[in-house]
Amino acid sequence: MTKPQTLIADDELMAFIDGALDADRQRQIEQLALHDDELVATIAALRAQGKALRDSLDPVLVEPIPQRLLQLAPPSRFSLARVAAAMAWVAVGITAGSLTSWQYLSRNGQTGAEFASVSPAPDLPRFVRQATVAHAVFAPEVRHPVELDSTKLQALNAWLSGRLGRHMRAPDLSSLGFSLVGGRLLPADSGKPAAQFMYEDRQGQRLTVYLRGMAQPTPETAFRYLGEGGVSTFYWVEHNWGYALSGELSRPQLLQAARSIYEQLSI
Amino acid sequence: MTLFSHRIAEQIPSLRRYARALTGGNRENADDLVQDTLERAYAKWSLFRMGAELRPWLFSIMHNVFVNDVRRMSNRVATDPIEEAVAMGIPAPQENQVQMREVLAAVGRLAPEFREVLVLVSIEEFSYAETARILGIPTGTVMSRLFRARAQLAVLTGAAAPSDARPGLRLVR
Repeated sequence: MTKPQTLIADDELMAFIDGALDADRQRQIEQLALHDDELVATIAALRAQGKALRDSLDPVLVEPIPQRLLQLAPPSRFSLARVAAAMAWVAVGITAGSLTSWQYLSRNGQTGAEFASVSPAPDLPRFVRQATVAHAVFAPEVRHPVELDSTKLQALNAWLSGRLGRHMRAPDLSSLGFSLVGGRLLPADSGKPAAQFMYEDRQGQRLTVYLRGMAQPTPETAFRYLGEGGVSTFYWVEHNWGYALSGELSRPQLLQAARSIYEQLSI
Repeated sequence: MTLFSHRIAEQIPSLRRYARALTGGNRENADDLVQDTLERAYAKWSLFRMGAELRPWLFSIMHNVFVNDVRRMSNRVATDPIEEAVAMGIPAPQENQVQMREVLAAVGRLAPEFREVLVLVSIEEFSYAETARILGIPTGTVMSRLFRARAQLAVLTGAAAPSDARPGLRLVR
C-alpha cells in the first residue's frame, strides 16, 4: 500500500500520462515512481495502452480518402499553402505515433497464449486478480454495467455458453434478494475468455460472478475468502473451472450466495 | 496525396481516424459518420468564426452527429450487435483477429461517451479543457471518464492483470 502523502489520485495519474500536470507535481510523481514498482508498472501499462491505440488508429491517416468524402467540398478558393499545412500535420501525426516507444512495449505485443507460456506463475492468483479487477471496474458503472442485459436472458446464456465452451445459465440469486443485471464477456491473458454476471439488490448493491476455464490443470479448492478494500471475494476451482463471487457484503451473506452459485454452475 | 480543396477537407484524415475509433473499427460506418459531419460543417461554414480553431469546431460537429446516431440506434429494436451476432452464429469481435483490430474492437465495446473522451485525449491530443468544450461537459467529467475508459479498456484488452503481483491499472479509490 502506498503511504498517504504519496497517494496519487486517479485524475492526477491521468494528467501525468497526458502531460497535463504542472512541472513540480510531474517531477514529484517521477520521483515516487523510483521507489514504487507498482506505480512504474501502472504507468508503463497506461503508456503501452496509448501506444497500442495510436498504432491501431494512425494508419487511417494515410489511407486513400474515399471519393464520396472529397466530393462534398464546395468549389474552392483555397489552395496549395493549405495543402502543405495539411500534409505537414499528417506527417507529424504519423511520426508522433511511430516514434514513441516505451519500455514495456514488448510485453504489450505478446498474445495471451505467449504470455501464459512464459509465465511460470500458477494461474489461480491471476484468476482471482482478474475477477476482482473486473468487479472494481464494472460494478460501479451506472449506464453500461453489462454488455447484454437480463431482458435478453436467453441470448445472454447462449452467447456466453458458446464463447466459454460450456453450457451454463446465469445463476438465479433472487431468493437472496439479488436480481440479474446482465453479463459480459471478458478476455483473460490465459487465452481463456471469462464471463462476468452482475446482480443487484433493491438498494443497488452489486455482486459479480466471474468464471473461466483455468489455463492449466488446477487442483480443486474449497471456498476461499479474500477481503480487500471493502470488496469481499469468495473463489473456488472445480473441474478446472475457476469461479469468483465479489461484492461489498458481509462474509456470511456472501458465502450464502457463493453456495447457491456453486450449486447452480457446478458441472 | 490528395490536394485538399477546402480548409475543412484538410481535416478529413483525422476526422476519419476519430470516427474509426468511435465505430470500433468499422470503416463503412466511420466514413458515414465523417460524411454526415462534413455535410453539416460545409453547410455551417459561414457561421465559423475566422480566427477560431477549426479542429475543435469540426470535432464538436462530429460529436453532435455521433450522439444523434447513438440515440437513433438505441431507439431501434433488436439492434444489439451482440444479440445479432449470437443469432447469426458469428463470433463476437475479440478473438482470432490481429491485435490492432482487437484494440479497436475493445474500444468499440466501451460506452460511447467513454470512447469519445479516450480518443480525443489519447489520439487527437486535445487538452482536457478543449475536450470538455468539444463535448460540452465539465473538465472534471472528462478526467473521470478518461480514468474509467482506460481502466475498462485495460480489462477489455486483457491487459489489466499482466501478472498477479502487478495490476495493469491500479484502482486508487
